[in-house]
Amino acid sequence: MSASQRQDLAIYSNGCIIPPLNPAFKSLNLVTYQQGTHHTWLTQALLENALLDTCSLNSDSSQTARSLNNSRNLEDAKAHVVVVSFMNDLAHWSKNLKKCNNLDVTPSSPNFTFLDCFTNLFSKFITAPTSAQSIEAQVQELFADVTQKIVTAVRAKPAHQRLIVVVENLEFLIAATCLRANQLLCQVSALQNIASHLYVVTQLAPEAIDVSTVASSAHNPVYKATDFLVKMIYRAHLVLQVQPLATGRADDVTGVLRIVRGGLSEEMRLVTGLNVVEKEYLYLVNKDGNAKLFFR
Amino acid sequence: MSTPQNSIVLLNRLLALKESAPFLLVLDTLAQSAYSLVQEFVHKSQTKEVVFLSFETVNRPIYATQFVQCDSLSSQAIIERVHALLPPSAPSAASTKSLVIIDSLNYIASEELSGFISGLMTPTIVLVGVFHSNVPRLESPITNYPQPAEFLTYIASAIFEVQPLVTDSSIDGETLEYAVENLRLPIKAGLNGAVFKLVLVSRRKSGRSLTYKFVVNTATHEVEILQEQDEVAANDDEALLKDLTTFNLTTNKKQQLAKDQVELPFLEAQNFGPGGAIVYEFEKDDDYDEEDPYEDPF
Repeated sequence: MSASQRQDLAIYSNGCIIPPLNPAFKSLNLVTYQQGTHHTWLTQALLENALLDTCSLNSDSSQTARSLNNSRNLEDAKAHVVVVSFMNDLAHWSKNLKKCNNLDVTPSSPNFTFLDCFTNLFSKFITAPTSAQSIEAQVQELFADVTQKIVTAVRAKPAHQRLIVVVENLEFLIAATCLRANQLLCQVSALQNIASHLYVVTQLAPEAIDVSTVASSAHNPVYKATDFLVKMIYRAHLVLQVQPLATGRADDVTGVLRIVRGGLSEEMRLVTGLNVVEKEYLYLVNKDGNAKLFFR
Repeated sequence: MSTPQNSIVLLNRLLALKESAPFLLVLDTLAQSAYSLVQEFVHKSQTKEVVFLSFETVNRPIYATQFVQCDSLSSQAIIERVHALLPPSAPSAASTKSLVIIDSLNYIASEELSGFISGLMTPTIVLVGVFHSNVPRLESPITNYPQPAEFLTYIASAIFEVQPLVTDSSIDGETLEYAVENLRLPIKAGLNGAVFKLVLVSRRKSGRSLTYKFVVNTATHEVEILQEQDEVAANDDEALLKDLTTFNLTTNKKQQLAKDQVELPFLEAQNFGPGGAIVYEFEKDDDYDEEDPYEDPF
């Protein structure tokens, strides 16, 4: 694929990737990925853009970002970024962010907070995953703890108005416990309330999606997964979908990135004046983990 | 039979809350959200009191005089909050109606829906409830209990079904349905936009329901009657025949109507009903016999 076809990532009508702060508006964004096309490269690009306003996927900034030998300074970051993960630990994120985005993130990094919700999930927070009586209270306690940590982190480190929260694989809770989608969505709203922009990263498994299902039990896994995803799309302002090529596989294309308007995208347009520009990119992730976008 | 103009008047009256319709149901899909239609309600009604019951957004709309985030409240608690905000016996409110918007009724359990809707209703409230039709359904534990969508369409005074006005001609209804089922929504097809199709089912007091189709543009607040595909096709036929010869090959509406009403001969013969009966019809030259030989002498 020739270099001339290479594209820059732009999501909104003004060309930005993450919108500027608007005190009257808190956005909810959904990132879905499928098996074989992981979201890491895209989430990293979002984190980099949130912190330093650059994007290593874009041709102009990728040269400068990688040519710097020293890691870039997070002291004067443009926002405070919090990653809440139900899947990976900090080592995973810091290794990838260092390699591809030249960002050094450690537990003591300014303007960056990582919350590992997986390591102690079943030993500390959710002790009875199958008890319908206690699960809601336990999950509520877990999210109260997460919210508390976010608020403390934002207060302790140089104050920023813009708080960007990325939650990875939240749907793990409905798959592994008897928690219902509505109870989890309630916690999503709570996180959206404290963040300027909330990104929920979730897996979309086509075999676990059936929109027209009539489930006989509220614990049916297909029903729960579909209920969560569909309701998330209805309430999202933006949907980013990373998925494999519909036509099979290719050596020079890893997958497709789709930028789709969410159910409430009109709310965003009316309040902030920003419009989601729908489009589709082809992308290629190299062996070293760097991604390139191409026009489709 | 109502004229197209009447249907636009009816829609505008419903949007302006001037009809006596206490519960208006808005059905939307993943392809076209109800958000824009709700904006239109707020724009046209010009009501001073708007209570927004939110399950889906944390952003308080600028028009909402009261905003209640309901996701952690029980349905009874929501009813109590609404009655506290809009007291049913307030005398000043008798002339103007308050608008209560529920951004999604999918979050209320199906068994609680009837109690929830009737609990909210007062003579001064117009309830606009959004229901997402693409959310997967759950069988009720009560045998033969209706699904929420069926129940809501049964009790609603008017049903507003929003559908996308697809701008991409390569996407037909079936393609769109397949895309929605796979959560792979087509891009650049005008989905979730400010211009959309609206199917209005209005129920009269008699119970008779009338269906109208519109195209609503919420950016300019204009409403048009939706031109159906076959109507467009019929017009195309006429356009094809025009200027083809010096003869007039087209038929106008009156001629078409007259043509449709002609009863073709031998149609009676094609009804294979009970045969063999002699049907006598009295004609003016027939000699009518006063005495009926078969008449009962007593």
